[in-house]
Amino acid sequence: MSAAAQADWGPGATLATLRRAADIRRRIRTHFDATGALEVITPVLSRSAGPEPSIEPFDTRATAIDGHHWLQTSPEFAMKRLIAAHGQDVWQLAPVFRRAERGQRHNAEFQLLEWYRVGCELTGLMADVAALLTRVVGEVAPFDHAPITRRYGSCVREVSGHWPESLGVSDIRDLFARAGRHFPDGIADHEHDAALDLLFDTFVLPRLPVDRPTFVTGYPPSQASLARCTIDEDGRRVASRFELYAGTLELANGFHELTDADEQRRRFAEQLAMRQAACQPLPPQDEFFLAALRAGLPDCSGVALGVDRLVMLACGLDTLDQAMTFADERC
Amino acid sequence: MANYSTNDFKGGLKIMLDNDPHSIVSNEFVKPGKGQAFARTKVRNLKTGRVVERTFKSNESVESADVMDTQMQYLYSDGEYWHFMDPASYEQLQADATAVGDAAQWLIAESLCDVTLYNGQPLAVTPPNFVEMVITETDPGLRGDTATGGTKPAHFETGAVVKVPLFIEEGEKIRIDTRSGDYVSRVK
Repeated sequence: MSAAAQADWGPGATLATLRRAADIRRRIRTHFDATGALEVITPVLSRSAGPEPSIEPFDTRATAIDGHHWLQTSPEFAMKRLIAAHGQDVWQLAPVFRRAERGQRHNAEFQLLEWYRVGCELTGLMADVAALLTRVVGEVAPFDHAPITRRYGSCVREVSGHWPESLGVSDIRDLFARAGRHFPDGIADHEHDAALDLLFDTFVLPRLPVDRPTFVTGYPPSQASLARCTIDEDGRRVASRFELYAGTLELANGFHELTDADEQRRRFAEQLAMRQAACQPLPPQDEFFLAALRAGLPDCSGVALGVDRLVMLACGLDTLDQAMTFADERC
Repeated sequence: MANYSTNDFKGGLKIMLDNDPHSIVSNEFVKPGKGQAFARTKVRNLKTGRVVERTFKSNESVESADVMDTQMQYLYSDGEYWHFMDPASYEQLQADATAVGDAAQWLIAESLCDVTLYNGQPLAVTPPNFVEMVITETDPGLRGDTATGGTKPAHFETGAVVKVPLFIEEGEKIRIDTRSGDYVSRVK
């Protein structure tokens, strides 16, 4: 790094932003005190990591004494083990680490607010998220309006004329061509989810309201991650999962949690196979987590919310660098 | 030739697309939390100047373009080619009308220009931001009229035409901003 870059030693966030961030954390704590969830701390470092192909964990250099460790990309496995053990609503604000995520709205290390409600379905959790946002940033647009809910499938159908499951990669490529937008050569014909991701980002996100938050629900089963699947009102199989958007900014991801240990093991194996095919690192899977599922995870829903992005929105900032003390380039 | 990954993308990076050299104008990292990452870029075709949107899947590999910006001294034009010299190596290069483009009107002998080389050949010429040139032809000056703010066209040997204040005379040397083509000041 050049001397000129190091001379800019100060934080990205102003003092006013740091005060607002502290106030946001205070209000988050108030919300969970008022609604009866237990604050917990789980380890950042683990001998295993999640296998999701789109999330790349940092690994540590192995030594004979310590063994190979990974930095968490989310505290979800450890928190679900706590729920399996104690059946309690739990929350925590934790640093998480994801490789190769860097941009105006991405930073490799960020603060995730993760919480779980036991005996709660997805709609109940969405109401809880809305209540938290009102308590924490309710005076600021777009959180001064109640969120609306849109179905993923309906959003895709609006811009393409088809449900996502009946859109092939070549159909999506044609859609981009007709709209005069560039479609990456790197998306192969079998990469349906990657094509849908770009379709959603390019055509759906700009149509979401800017004056209120939007819950998008009913993701394709192939994008269920750790969510259980269900049948929607049109008889389509969808993941019981939501994403919360403020305008085009993704803020939170929630699941009605999968509790079926066999299904979870099958999905891990599928994701590890995808990693292997793409020559990605193959972290060991979390056998503690799978054992906890087998022992019995109570019916629950959980959500992860990006707090740095929330600070960014609450302070009317354009970049995460302005919302954080020392974002990637400053440390 | 070297390859770049999308992780290397930043403004000004020179890459090959559709067999033409391009320069990255802007790069946005796009990624849903649970999905595929993309680099959404705007790129300028260095041959045509056209800016278009190009989106890449993260980790896609792109060939680098052998494009280099170098400072060269303008020597003369033979009518077909404009001749430049590297002031360090005295090596000479000739640029055709496509490469020189609108810069031709601001080229005066010995001025230092930025010459963009592609595979060692001039692709584009950027004149200095400010040049000083002698007016070869303009309407007679209105002496003392410095207040009305009116302008008149002034012509130069290079073919350039610049709007100048009414009090400026033929044969005077003036300073011009080549980026806007605007008159800046008289040169004493």
